[in-house]
Amino acid sequence: MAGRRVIPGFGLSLGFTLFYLGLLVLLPLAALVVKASSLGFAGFAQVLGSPQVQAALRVSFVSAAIAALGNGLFGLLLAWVLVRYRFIGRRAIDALVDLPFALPTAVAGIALATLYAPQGWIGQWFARADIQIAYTRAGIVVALTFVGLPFVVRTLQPVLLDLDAEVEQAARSLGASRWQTFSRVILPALVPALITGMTLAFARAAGEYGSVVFIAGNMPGQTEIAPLVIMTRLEQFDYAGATAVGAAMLAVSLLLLLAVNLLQAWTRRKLGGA
Amino acid sequence: MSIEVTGVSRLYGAHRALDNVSLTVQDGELLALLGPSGSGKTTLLRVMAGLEQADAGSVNFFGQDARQQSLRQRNVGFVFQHYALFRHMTVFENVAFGLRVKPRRDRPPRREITRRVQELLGLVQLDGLAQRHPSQLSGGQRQRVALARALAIRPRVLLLDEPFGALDAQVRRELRQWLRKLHDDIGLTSVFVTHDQEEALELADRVAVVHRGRIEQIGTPQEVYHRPQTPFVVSFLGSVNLFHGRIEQGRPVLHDNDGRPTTRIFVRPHDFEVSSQHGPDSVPAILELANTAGPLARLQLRDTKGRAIAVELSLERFRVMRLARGDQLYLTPTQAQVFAT
Repeated sequence: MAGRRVIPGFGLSLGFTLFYLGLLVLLPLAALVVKASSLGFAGFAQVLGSPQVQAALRVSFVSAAIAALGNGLFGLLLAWVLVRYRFIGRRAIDALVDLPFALPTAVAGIALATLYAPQGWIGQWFARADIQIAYTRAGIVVALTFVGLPFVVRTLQPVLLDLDAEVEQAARSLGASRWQTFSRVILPALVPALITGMTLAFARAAGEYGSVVFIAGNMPGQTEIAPLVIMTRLEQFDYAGATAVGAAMLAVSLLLLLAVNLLQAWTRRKLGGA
Repeated sequence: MSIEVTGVSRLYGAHRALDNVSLTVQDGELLALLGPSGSGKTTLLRVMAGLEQADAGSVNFFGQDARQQSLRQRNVGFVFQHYALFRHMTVFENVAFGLRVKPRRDRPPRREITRRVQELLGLVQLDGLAQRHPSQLSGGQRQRVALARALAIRPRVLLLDEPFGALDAQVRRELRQWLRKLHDDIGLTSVFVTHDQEEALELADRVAVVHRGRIEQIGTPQEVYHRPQTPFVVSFLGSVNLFHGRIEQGRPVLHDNDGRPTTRIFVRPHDFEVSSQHGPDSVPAILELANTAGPLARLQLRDTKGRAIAVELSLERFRVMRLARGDQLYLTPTQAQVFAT
């Protein structure tokens, strides 16, 4: 810390950072854990042991994972097109990507439910093939994909912009086919950003409430998501039960984020970082 | 004849990057494409490599029309200006890349790949760095990785785009000599692009001077330096003084006081006879500045019309003459390049 920095006050800024994080993030989380622990171990186990809660947690995390994977694939495609090609309406499409951020989630949920309902514009075509989307787990995945899309696109775009076109030409001049150039040169450079984007999309989707409840159908044990279980328990003034489910979600999320961070560090080491 | 470029033009919108360029690269030679930035030299190199298509004209590759060949078939080793190394791969993997992406039937077995990569790393003096990543290397080392990677596919020609452009002067000089030696050892036909005339003259067997999308002159370094064919070549290859004058009895007359100027006369700074006595056809000038920090004394003079003239003298002669600022001197060219106006 002896060297002169452009911006002074390491002590002050670190102190403020810790205070701010503590106030905004750690304090509410601590309150959550404290409240949940008022149940005692037996009560905690009883809440989490209930099939309804377990099913809801599973629905939330599994749907979020599927949505994140889908977003990884199509977000990559979308980011690629937006960065690599110049076409009329590119800026408009680029702006559209942010819409899931800006739209109130309830509005998105109602819109999606209307579209994908058996009588809806899109749902009716699926209904003919006897496939129902709204009010099923498929509907949950659709809503979670919608809210997660911007995360993948926005984390990939700057990395794609930064990719040196000469690197691709180098691969081509060394005799690599188009596919080899993509899979061996371009994709590895994108993997860290792709993982980050998918993690953000996943984290957002796991806790998503507003857009999902309208399209999910909310059948306990079938299409009920964990945040809804928490809401229901709150409405029944079962605060401890609600916080117990919340604490469980928190623990799973933390574990998953930790795993992703380890994966990230591993790929960075393997890919040489930079 | 390795590469034969015939009547090639390349347009970027309205800008003519290459204008009807023809050029033949001889087998085994080291050819420099020398020119200022924006002259089209890099475009020419990229057209030869097949990284860019010509709008007109043809490129012939070892007797075959290059347009019918894919990049893989052309088998060109290309070294990019900023190296374009694969950042996520180790040095070893970078060099092995061209071998690993070969179609299965042409791909050497794993052990052979390892052997060849080790051999190449030895050639570019990077043994022991095989497991490093490009970000852990210096500029000169990266340059050599790029070279080894290009050589791994056993190319028929090696094309280098400003190979030393991004390096500092010291490394640059070392690498230059090293590249010349490497070329002599492996005898691979090579073409490199540079804007540094010293580099081109020192390194190349032949130099092609490129200007505004055309080749102004092509020849050995001695030819282009001592027998420049265009005013551009004279002025690009080292500093030069321009006079408007005429030729009288086979001798250049530098002043145009009497009679109309009919020729442009270029005189290099070291091609002056400096005297304190007036001589026939000498130009009077006043000494303004003298810089003696270097192997030569570099003088700046001003003639009667207020034009600056750069002159170089040996330090010894400078001391013997006891020159000082404000001295009246007389300059007589010992050698000049003359072009009609």
